[in-house]
Amino acid sequence: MRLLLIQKKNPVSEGLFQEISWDSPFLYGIIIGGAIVEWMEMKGSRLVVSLPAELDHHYTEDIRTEIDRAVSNQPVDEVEFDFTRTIFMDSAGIGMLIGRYKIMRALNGRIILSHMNRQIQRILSLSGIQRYIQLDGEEAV
Amino acid sequence: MKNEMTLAFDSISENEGFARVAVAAFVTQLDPTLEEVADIRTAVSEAVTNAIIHGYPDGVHTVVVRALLNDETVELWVTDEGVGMEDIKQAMEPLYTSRPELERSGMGFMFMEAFMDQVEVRSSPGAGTTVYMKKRICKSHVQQGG
Ligand SMILES: Nc1ncnc2c1ncn2[C@@H]1O[C@H](COP(=O)(O)OP(=O)(O)OP(=O)(O)O)[C@@H](O)[C@H]1O
Ligand SMILES: [Mg+2]
Repeated sequence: MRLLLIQKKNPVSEGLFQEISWDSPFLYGIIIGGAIVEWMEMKGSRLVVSLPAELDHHYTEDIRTEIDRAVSNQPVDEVEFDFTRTIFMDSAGIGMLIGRYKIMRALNGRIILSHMNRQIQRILSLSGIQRYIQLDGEEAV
Repeated sequence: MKNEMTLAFDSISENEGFARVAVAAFVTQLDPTLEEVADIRTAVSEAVTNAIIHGYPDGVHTVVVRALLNDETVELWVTDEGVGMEDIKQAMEPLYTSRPELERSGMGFMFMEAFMDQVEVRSSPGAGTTVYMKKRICKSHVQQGG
Protein backbone atom coordinates (compact mmCIF):
# COMPACT_ATOMS: atom_id res chain seq x y z
CA MET A 1 0.00 0.00 0.00
CA ARG A 2 1.38 3.34 -1.01
CA LEU A 3 0.79 6.23 1.27
CA LEU A 4 0.01 9.50 -0.43
CA LEU A 5 -1.04 11.51 2.50
CA ILE A 6 -1.54 11.45 6.20
CA GLN A 7 -3.29 14.32 7.78
CA LYS A 8 -4.29 14.81 11.33
CA LYS A 9 -5.58 17.38 13.71
CA ASN A 10 -3.32 16.84 16.64
CA PRO A 11 0.10 18.00 17.70
CA VAL A 12 1.89 14.72 16.91
CA SER A 13 4.42 15.14 14.13
CA GLU A 14 3.55 13.98 10.61
CA GLY A 15 6.49 11.65 10.05
CA LEU A 16 5.73 9.43 12.99
CA PHE A 17 3.00 7.56 11.17
CA GLN A 18 4.55 7.07 7.78
CA GLU A 19 4.93 3.31 7.98
CA ILE A 20 2.41 2.40 10.64
CA SER A 21 -0.48 0.19 9.56
CA TRP A 22 -4.12 0.53 10.63
CA ASP A 23 -3.60 -2.38 13.00
CA SER A 24 -1.25 -0.40 15.16
CA PRO A 25 -2.84 0.12 18.58
CA PHE A 26 -1.07 3.46 18.79
CA LEU A 27 -2.63 4.73 15.61
CA TYR A 28 -6.00 3.34 16.58
CA GLY A 29 -5.83 5.29 19.83
CA ILE A 30 -5.13 8.47 17.89
CA ILE A 31 -8.20 7.95 15.74
CA ILE A 32 -10.48 7.30 18.67
CA GLY A 33 -9.12 10.45 20.25
CA GLY A 34 -10.67 12.46 17.43
CA ALA A 35 -7.76 12.82 15.04
CA ILE A 36 -8.24 12.68 11.33
CA VAL A 37 -5.99 10.18 9.69
CA GLU A 38 -6.77 9.58 6.05
CA TRP A 39 -5.24 7.09 3.71
CA MET A 40 -5.39 7.66 0.05
CA GLU A 41 -3.84 5.22 -2.31
CA MET A 42 -3.49 5.17 -6.10
CA LYS A 43 -4.28 1.81 -7.71
CA GLY A 44 -3.54 2.41 -11.34
CA SER A 45 -5.72 5.39 -12.20
CA ARG A 46 -8.05 4.76 -9.26
CA LEU A 47 -7.74 6.80 -6.10
CA VAL A 48 -8.85 4.68 -3.14
CA VAL A 49 -9.94 6.65 -0.09
CA SER A 50 -10.25 4.81 3.23
CA LEU A 51 -12.93 6.71 5.08
CA PRO A 52 -12.84 7.28 8.85
CA ALA A 53 -15.10 5.58 11.40
CA GLU A 54 -17.46 8.55 11.72
CA LEU A 55 -18.17 10.46 8.53
CA ASP A 56 -19.82 13.67 9.73
CA HIS A 57 -19.37 17.38 9.01
CA HIS A 58 -16.34 17.50 11.28
CA TYR A 59 -14.42 15.07 9.06
CA THR A 60 -15.79 15.75 5.57
CA GLU A 61 -14.30 19.24 5.39
CA ASP A 62 -10.73 17.97 5.43
CA ILE A 63 -11.37 14.85 3.40
CA ARG A 64 -12.82 16.72 0.45
CA THR A 65 -9.93 19.21 0.43
CA GLU A 66 -7.40 16.40 0.21
CA ILE A 67 -9.30 14.44 -2.46
CA ASP A 68 -9.71 17.54 -4.59
CA ARG A 69 -6.02 18.25 -4.29
CA ALA A 70 -5.14 14.67 -5.23
CA VAL A 71 -7.38 14.56 -8.32
CA SER A 72 -6.07 17.88 -9.57
CA ASN A 73 -2.43 16.88 -9.09
CA GLN A 74 -2.50 13.63 -11.07
CA PRO A 75 -4.66 11.79 -13.61
CA VAL A 76 -7.45 10.00 -11.75
CA ASP A 77 -10.23 8.13 -13.59
CA GLU A 78 -12.05 6.79 -10.56
CA VAL A 79 -12.32 7.61 -6.90
CA GLU A 80 -13.24 4.68 -4.69
CA PHE A 81 -14.65 5.47 -1.27
CA ASP A 82 -13.93 2.50 0.95
CA PHE A 83 -16.33 2.36 3.93
CA THR A 84 -14.68 -0.65 5.57
CA ARG A 85 -14.00 1.22 8.80
CA THR A 86 -17.02 3.52 8.63
CA ILE A 87 -19.82 2.92 11.12
CA PHE A 88 -21.58 6.27 10.87
CA MET A 89 -22.47 8.73 8.12
CA ASP A 90 -24.95 11.60 7.98
CA SER A 91 -25.98 14.20 5.37
CA ALA A 92 -22.53 15.79 5.46
CA GLY A 93 -21.12 12.57 4.02
CA ILE A 94 -23.77 12.57 1.29
CA GLY A 95 -22.90 16.17 0.42
CA MET A 96 -19.22 15.26 0.21
CA LEU A 97 -19.97 12.29 -2.09
CA ILE A 98 -22.22 14.32 -4.39
CA GLY A 99 -19.58 17.04 -4.60
CA ARG A 100 -16.90 14.52 -5.60
CA TYR A 101 -19.31 12.90 -8.07
CA LYS A 102 -19.72 16.28 -9.79
CA ILE A 103 -15.98 16.85 -9.93
CA MET A 104 -15.26 13.38 -11.32
CA ARG A 105 -18.04 13.70 -13.87
CA ALA A 106 -16.47 16.95 -15.06
CA LEU A 107 -13.19 15.03 -15.44
CA ASN A 108 -15.00 12.27 -17.37
CA GLY A 109 -14.41 9.96 -14.44
CA ARG A 110 -16.60 8.37 -11.82
CA ILE A 111 -16.84 7.50 -8.16
CA ILE A 112 -17.37 4.10 -6.60
CA LEU A 113 -18.50 3.19 -3.09
CA SER A 114 -17.47 -0.04 -1.41
CA HIS A 115 -17.87 -2.06 1.80
CA MET A 116 -20.80 -0.17 3.32
CA ASN A 117 -22.50 -1.51 6.44
CA ARG A 118 -26.28 -1.52 6.88
CA GLN A 119 -26.54 1.93 8.46
CA ILE A 120 -24.54 3.45 5.62
CA GLN A 121 -26.62 1.61 3.01
CA ARG A 122 -29.85 2.90 4.54
CA ILE A 123 -28.62 6.49 4.45
CA LEU A 124 -27.43 6.06 0.87
CA SER A 125 -30.72 4.61 -0.33
CA LEU A 126 -32.76 7.30 1.43
CA SER A 127 -30.62 9.96 -0.21
CA GLY A 128 -31.30 8.67 -3.72
CA ILE A 129 -27.60 8.98 -4.53
CA GLN A 130 -27.55 5.49 -6.09
CA ARG A 131 -28.98 6.91 -9.26
CA TYR A 132 -25.62 8.49 -9.98
CA ILE A 133 -23.05 6.48 -8.16
CA GLN A 134 -21.96 2.92 -8.57
CA LEU A 135 -22.10 0.99 -5.33
CA ASP A 136 -19.51 -1.60 -4.45
CA GLY A 137 -16.13 -1.32 -6.07
CA GLU A 138 -15.32 -4.99 -5.71
CA GLU A 139 -15.40 -5.76 -9.40
CA ALA A 140 -12.16 -6.58 -11.18
CA VAL A 141 -9.73 -3.71 -11.15
CA MET B 1 -39.52 4.73 33.63
CA LYS B 2 -38.84 8.42 33.34
CA ASN B 3 -35.45 10.05 33.02
CA GLU B 4 -34.19 13.36 31.72
CA MET B 5 -30.86 14.92 30.86
CA THR B 6 -29.53 18.15 29.40
CA LEU B 7 -26.22 18.78 27.64
CA ALA B 8 -24.86 22.23 26.86
CA PHE B 9 -21.75 22.45 24.70
CA ASP B 10 -19.76 24.74 22.42
CA SER B 11 -20.83 25.01 18.78
CA ILE B 12 -17.71 23.39 17.38
CA SER B 13 -17.77 20.44 14.98
CA GLU B 14 -15.90 18.15 17.40
CA ASN B 15 -19.05 18.14 19.53
CA GLU B 16 -21.23 16.59 16.82
CA GLY B 17 -19.75 13.20 17.65
CA PHE B 18 -19.93 13.89 21.37
CA ALA B 19 -23.66 14.74 21.24
CA ARG B 20 -24.45 11.61 19.22
CA VAL B 21 -22.59 9.32 21.59
CA ALA B 22 -24.01 10.94 24.73
CA VAL B 23 -27.63 10.75 23.57
CA ALA B 24 -27.20 7.20 22.27
CA ALA B 25 -25.76 6.10 25.62
CA PHE B 26 -28.62 7.75 27.51
CA VAL B 27 -31.26 6.15 25.30
CA THR B 28 -29.93 2.62 25.88
CA GLN B 29 -31.89 2.67 29.16
CA LEU B 30 -34.99 2.02 27.06
CA ASP B 31 -33.45 -1.11 25.57
CA PRO B 32 -33.63 0.02 21.96
CA THR B 33 -32.60 -2.10 18.99
CA LEU B 34 -29.31 -1.29 17.26
CA GLU B 35 -31.31 0.14 14.39
CA GLU B 36 -33.28 2.44 16.69
CA VAL B 37 -30.04 3.70 18.25
CA ALA B 38 -28.61 4.30 14.76
CA ASP B 39 -31.72 6.29 13.82
CA ILE B 40 -31.45 8.48 16.91
CA ARG B 41 -27.72 9.03 16.41
CA THR B 42 -28.34 10.23 12.87
CA ALA B 43 -31.19 12.53 13.87
CA VAL B 44 -29.14 14.07 16.70
CA SER B 45 -26.18 14.52 14.37
CA GLU B 46 -28.32 16.36 11.81
CA ALA B 47 -29.95 18.71 14.31
CA VAL B 48 -26.71 19.48 16.16
CA THR B 49 -24.77 20.02 12.92
CA ASN B 50 -27.48 22.44 11.75
CA ALA B 51 -27.25 24.39 15.00
CA ILE B 52 -23.48 24.64 14.58
CA ILE B 53 -23.37 25.44 10.84
CA HIS B 54 -26.56 27.41 10.27
CA GLY B 55 -27.58 28.62 13.72
CA TYR B 56 -24.15 29.97 14.59
CA PRO B 57 -22.38 30.75 11.30
CA ASP B 58 -20.01 33.09 13.16
CA GLY B 59 -18.22 32.39 16.38
CA VAL B 60 -18.62 29.80 19.11
CA HIS B 61 -21.82 29.77 21.12
CA THR B 62 -23.80 27.22 23.10
CA VAL B 63 -25.92 24.37 21.75
CA VAL B 64 -28.30 22.66 24.18
CA VAL B 65 -29.57 19.12 23.79
CA ARG B 66 -32.28 17.90 26.12
CA ALA B 67 -33.44 14.30 26.16
CA LEU B 68 -36.48 12.92 27.95
CA LEU B 69 -37.18 9.21 28.27
CA ASN B 70 -40.70 8.24 29.14
CA ASP B 71 -41.62 4.54 29.15
CA GLU B 72 -41.44 3.76 25.46
CA THR B 73 -40.64 7.16 23.99
CA VAL B 74 -37.61 9.33 23.50
CA GLU B 75 -38.11 13.06 23.13
CA LEU B 76 -35.28 15.36 22.09
CA TRP B 77 -34.90 19.11 21.95
CA VAL B 78 -31.90 20.62 20.13
CA THR B 79 -31.69 24.35 20.74
CA ASP B 80 -29.52 27.19 19.54
CA GLU B 81 -29.91 30.90 20.17
CA GLY B 82 -28.55 31.77 16.76
CA VAL B 83 -29.82 33.38 13.58
CA GLY B 84 -33.12 31.47 13.35
CA MET B 85 -35.16 30.88 10.19
CA GLU B 86 -37.46 33.10 8.16
CA ASP B 87 -39.37 30.30 6.50
CA ILE B 88 -39.49 27.00 8.40
CA LYS B 89 -41.60 25.25 5.79
CA GLN B 90 -39.12 26.00 3.03
CA ALA B 91 -36.19 25.00 5.25
CA MET B 92 -37.76 21.59 5.85
CA GLU B 93 -38.37 20.85 2.19
CA PRO B 94 -36.25 17.95 0.97
CA LEU B 95 -33.09 19.15 -0.80
CA TYR B 96 -33.55 22.77 0.23
CA THR B 97 -30.34 24.29 1.51
CA SER B 98 -29.38 27.90 2.11
CA ARG B 99 -25.68 26.96 1.88
CA PRO B 100 -25.05 25.06 -1.39
CA GLU B 101 -21.56 26.61 -1.51
CA LEU B 102 -20.69 24.58 1.60
CA GLU B 103 -21.67 21.37 -0.25
CA ARG B 104 -24.71 20.94 1.91
CA SER B 105 -27.21 18.62 0.29
CA GLY B 106 -30.39 19.76 2.03
CA MET B 107 -31.05 16.30 3.43
CA GLY B 108 -30.75 16.99 7.16
CA PHE B 109 -34.45 17.49 7.90
CA MET B 110 -35.28 14.70 5.46
CA PHE B 111 -33.20 12.26 7.53
CA MET B 112 -34.61 13.55 10.83
CA GLU B 113 -38.13 12.96 9.53
CA ALA B 114 -37.25 9.54 8.13
CA PHE B 115 -35.66 8.32 11.35
CA MET B 116 -37.91 9.86 13.99
CA ASP B 117 -41.70 9.54 14.38
CA GLN B 118 -42.23 13.26 14.81
CA VAL B 119 -40.16 16.37 14.02
CA GLU B 120 -41.21 19.90 14.84
CA VAL B 121 -39.29 23.13 14.43
CA ARG B 122 -39.75 26.33 16.33
CA SER B 123 -37.68 29.22 15.08
CA SER B 124 -37.69 32.94 14.63
CA PRO B 125 -35.14 35.21 12.96
CA GLY B 126 -32.61 36.54 15.42
CA ALA B 127 -33.93 34.48 18.33
CA GLY B 128 -32.76 30.98 17.44
CA THR B 129 -34.16 27.55 16.74
CA THR B 130 -35.43 24.53 18.61
CA VAL B 131 -35.87 21.21 16.85
CA TYR B 132 -38.15 18.82 18.71
CA MET B 133 -38.07 15.12 17.82
CA LYS B 134 -39.90 12.14 19.18
CA LYS B 135 -39.48 8.42 18.65
CA ARG B 136 -41.21 5.40 20.06
CA ILE B 137 -38.94 2.57 21.14
CA CYS B 138 -40.67 -0.76 20.51
CA LYS B 139 -40.69 -2.95 23.58
CA SER B 140 -41.87 -5.92 21.58
CA HIS B 141 -38.52 -6.94 20.15
CA VAL B 142 -37.00 -10.17 21.41
CA GLN B 143 -33.78 -9.69 23.32
CA GLN B 144 -30.96 -11.79 22.02
CA GLY B 145 -28.07 -13.41 23.78
CA GLY B 146 -28.81 -12.68 27.44
N1 LIG C 1 -30.53 25.65 13.57
C1 LIG C 1 -30.74 26.32 12.43
N2 LIG C 1 -30.65 27.67 12.41
C2 LIG C 1 -30.86 28.37 11.27
N3 LIG C 1 -31.19 27.79 10.09
C3 LIG C 1 -31.33 26.45 10.05
C4 LIG C 1 -31.11 25.65 11.20
N4 LIG C 1 -31.32 24.36 10.86
C5 LIG C 1 -31.63 24.35 9.56
N5 LIG C 1 -31.64 25.61 9.05
C6 LIG C 1 -31.97 25.97 7.67
O1 LIG C 1 -32.66 24.89 7.06
C7 LIG C 1 -32.00 24.49 5.86
C8 LIG C 1 -32.22 23.02 5.62
O2 LIG C 1 -31.58 22.23 6.63
P1 LIG C 1 -31.14 20.75 6.28
O3 LIG C 1 -30.42 20.18 7.44
O4 LIG C 1 -32.30 20.00 5.75
O5 LIG C 1 -30.14 20.96 5.05
P2 LIG C 1 -28.65 21.55 5.10
O6 LIG C 1 -28.15 21.62 6.50
O7 LIG C 1 -28.63 22.82 4.32
O8 LIG C 1 -27.86 20.43 4.30
P3 LIG C 1 -27.37 19.02 4.90
O9 LIG C 1 -28.06 18.80 6.21
O10 LIG C 1 -27.77 18.02 3.86
O11 LIG C 1 -25.90 19.12 5.06
C9 LIG C 1 -30.58 24.92 6.04
O12 LIG C 1 -29.91 25.10 4.81
C10 LIG C 1 -30.73 26.24 6.82
O13 LIG C 1 -31.05 27.30 5.93
MG1 LIG D 1 -28.27 20.02 7.81
